[in-house]
Amino acid sequence: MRVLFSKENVFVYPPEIEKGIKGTISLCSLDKGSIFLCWIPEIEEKEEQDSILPSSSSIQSPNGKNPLAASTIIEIDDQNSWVVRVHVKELKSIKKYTPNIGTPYIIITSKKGTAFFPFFFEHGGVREFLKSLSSIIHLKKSNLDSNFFTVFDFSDPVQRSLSSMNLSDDFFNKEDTFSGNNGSNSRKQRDHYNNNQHATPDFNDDLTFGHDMELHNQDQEKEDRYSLLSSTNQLKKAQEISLLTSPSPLQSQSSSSSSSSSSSVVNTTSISPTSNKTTSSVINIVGNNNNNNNNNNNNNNSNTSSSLSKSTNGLSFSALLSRSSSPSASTSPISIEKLGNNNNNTSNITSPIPSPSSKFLSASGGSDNDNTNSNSSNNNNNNNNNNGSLSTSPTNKRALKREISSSIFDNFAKVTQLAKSAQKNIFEEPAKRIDNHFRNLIGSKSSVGSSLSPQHPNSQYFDILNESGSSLNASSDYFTPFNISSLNFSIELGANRRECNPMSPSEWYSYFDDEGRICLANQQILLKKIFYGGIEESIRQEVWPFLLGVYSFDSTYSSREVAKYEKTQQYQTVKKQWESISCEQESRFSKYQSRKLLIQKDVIRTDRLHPLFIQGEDDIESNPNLHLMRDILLTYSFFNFDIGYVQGMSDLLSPIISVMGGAAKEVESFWCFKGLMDRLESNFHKDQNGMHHQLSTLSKLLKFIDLELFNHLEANNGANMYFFFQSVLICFKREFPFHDVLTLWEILWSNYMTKNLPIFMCLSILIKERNQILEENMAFDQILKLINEKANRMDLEDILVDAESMVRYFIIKQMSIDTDKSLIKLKESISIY
Amino acid sequence: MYSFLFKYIIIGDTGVGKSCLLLQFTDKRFQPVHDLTIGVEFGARMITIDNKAIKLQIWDTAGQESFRSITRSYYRGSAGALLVYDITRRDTFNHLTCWLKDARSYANSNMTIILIGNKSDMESKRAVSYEEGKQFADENGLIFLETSAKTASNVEEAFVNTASKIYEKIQKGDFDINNESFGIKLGAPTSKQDGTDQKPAGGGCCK
Repeated sequence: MRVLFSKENVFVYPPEIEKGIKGTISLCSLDKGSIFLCWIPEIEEKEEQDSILPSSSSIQSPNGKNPLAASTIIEIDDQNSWVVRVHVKELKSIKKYTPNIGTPYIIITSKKGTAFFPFFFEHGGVREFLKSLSSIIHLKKSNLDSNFFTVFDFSDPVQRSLSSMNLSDDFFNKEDTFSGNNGSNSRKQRDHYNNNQHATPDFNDDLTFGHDMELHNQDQEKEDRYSLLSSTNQLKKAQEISLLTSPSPLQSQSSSSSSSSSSSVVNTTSISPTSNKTTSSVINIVGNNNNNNNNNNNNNNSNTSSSLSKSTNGLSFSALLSRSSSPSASTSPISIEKLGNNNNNTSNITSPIPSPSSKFLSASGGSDNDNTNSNSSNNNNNNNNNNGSLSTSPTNKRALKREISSSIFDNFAKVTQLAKSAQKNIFEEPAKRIDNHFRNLIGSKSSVGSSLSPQHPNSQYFDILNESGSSLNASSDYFTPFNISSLNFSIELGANRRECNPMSPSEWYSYFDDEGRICLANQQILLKKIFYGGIEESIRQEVWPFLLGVYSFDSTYSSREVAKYEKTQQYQTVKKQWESISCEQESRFSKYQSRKLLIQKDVIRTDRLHPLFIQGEDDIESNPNLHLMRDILLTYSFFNFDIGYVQGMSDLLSPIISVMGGAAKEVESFWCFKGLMDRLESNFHKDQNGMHHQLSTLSKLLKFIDLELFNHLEANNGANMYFFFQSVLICFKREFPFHDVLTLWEILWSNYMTKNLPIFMCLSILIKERNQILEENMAFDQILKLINEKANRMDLEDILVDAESMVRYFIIKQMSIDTDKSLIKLKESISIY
Repeated sequence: MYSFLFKYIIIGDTGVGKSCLLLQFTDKRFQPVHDLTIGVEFGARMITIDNKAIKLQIWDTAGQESFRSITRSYYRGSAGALLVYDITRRDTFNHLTCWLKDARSYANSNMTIILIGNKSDMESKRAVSYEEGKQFADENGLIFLETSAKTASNVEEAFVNTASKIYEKIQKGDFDINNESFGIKLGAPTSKQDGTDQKPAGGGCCK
């Protein structure tokens, strides 16, 4: 064995092992020149892993079969370790992630569709690894994403010719090169499939990434079922196929003959009797999910890209979790463990008692009905296992999908978050595809709105969807975002928020290393966690200084002590500058005098109903917290003399004082306030440039996303977005109750996705009212009144979910050439990881 | 239902009692300490002049200079302006020229302006005499009143007198009523603007 490349300190983070497993990634040449990509954990870690792992039974599948054991390409080591060994020819794609902060990592997908754990290169080396790899196999950089590499197989004539035609990436991704024994046959099928796909685009119309649909040459081994489940863009297919392969006998017999191409493709999924088992397993996963998450999901109609990729990530991990003591022993993924008895749940919940959403589902599923039936009809072999309960109606299909997503997300939420979102990226980034998907969604489902039951809580949205769908056809523009927020993303994102609890003290402390640092990888997890769940009250006092930059995450316990001392000194110095001004001096220092007066006047006008800031007499001295607020504001006005004091600052300070714990934490409160002001300083510039910039960005954003509403505002002098002046200036301090503001602010400070979340919040608030604004033909003052009156009547979670979906929609919506520069900048500033 | 809708704007230095005046007018109550205003807040009330129902729609603006660029945009489209100073703080009176200049340059030329010396209940702390105020008003062609948002003294009059003046101008034909940029709207039976009811309707200024 010859080692061509080797890199130590490459970590994987399987869900059970929080600390991750340290290992070495290498490229080794074995006999006869076959080269393998290997990842071998460090030996001393082994025992520890075993102790950390849950009892082995929990990941043993009941059916006693190891789906991966028979594979020639992925070897799960016999000795209970986590060795990964893949022939380089079996690699399909590599996605590289090199975040600005955090550990670079790669995600490798095999041709069988297995996505491996992300490999985190703790000490760097991604570039060298790719370089070495590309010297062995041909890596083609994606046109859409320079961090995405497709492995090229020139032995495959189809790929070769496609390559010469220089077609787009997704075409290649879709191409499933199979260099196995029965190549000619499978290729034929594949070509059939491609033809079919192009001829009947509707075939995919409820797939999130319609054009990514990829069918495998399933006449290989039964483990293909797991491979199918494992890869992100293939999960859907797995569901599709598994469902297609399990129709009720009635359905499958009654359907008419379908095109030969599609039948051949689908038949590949169901060749051997063993594959039946697997198929039913897949369905059982679904059933189980349904069981868990029924409550959450009944009202949801999401089968969005994000949800699917989330779930597939979960599955991909589970696929790799397989550990076997012998090749034949059962080591199936966690998900399989839950299988076996849930068929009935699924059908009980989704079909006999149609919920509003299932009504929607069945209505909307109409257009792919035909395809479903025609495909499923060719799979008589598979019916036996499914005792008819899963009749593969579109209703079920959709409901199942969405339940898969949530439940799996639920299962893997904590540890896999980072890697999940990373992998999701691979498939989310090509905006075009998503957009196409939405187009399809709109275009083909114009019957959705009308067929909804009137009592459906969301029916208004479907009506809108319907309308915009038709206008979309005419204008060839995309639909407006309320559809997204209502139908697709936000439900899923809402689940994210609901399921993410505020960060607990124990979790917070677990992020620190022995010396008190939080490593980059943990920072990312931490910030994402905060973004979705906020922080528990009891540790805000400790976390906020980090979020506000008082201490950096990579400072140690001791360096923080030093910094604390220095900051105390510095604060006292600045404070003395104004404290030492005598009355006589003050009487000849009118600027200082008036500033001090204004601050004193405003301090008592800030959160005057909050218990901390209630004043006894008409005097600032009566309440130490008011006194503290005055001191900090005055000190800041000396610390940052150019800004001085501007109204609104006291609103920014009062939550900090309440969290930091009053007068005892004066210094830390000041520096937290300073950190917050660093974020918002431009809001308080004398020329208001920061405010104008944000409001005009908001205006352009609205124009880009909802032209109709924008036009209305413009005609009514509202395009300046002044009704959001207060919201933007003080970050919704007065738009939400005090305790919500604390949560909101830490969410904003997490900087997750975008620093400009407030703009997107404004956007979603406005768009929530769009119907009223347009229907009542509201003038500027009426809109201002409307928005003003929404203060303290909005649900924070609701707004955040919508705002996030706005961000995601904004990201995927294609810009035209003449798109405003500030929007392009805004887009560039957003990173979804 | 109203015959006319007049739009007002309240301007003046921070802390002179603009929001309190509005609250006293719309809700007939006084709050010794009011949240400081950021941006613009909103209030409305119906009054009667010459047996005609008139709806007053009032913008209460933030006083600090930093926000001037935003509040300026509300001048346009206002029929009346309440320019407020604090009789106990000389500097708020000194800044009137500045405010007036702003109002003249950003508002329509027919805007009716009333000068209000607020906090007349705090006689002991008075720093600006009634005469000074009156003189400034006369020199600049403004109506003048001293008010107390606390005791409600002259508050009603301040708003109503301004409305009467505007109404007079309408009778004289100074306005093109169909041009909404003057801050005047004709009420129509089918108007969509009648969302607010007869009496204290606003309260938008207090949260």
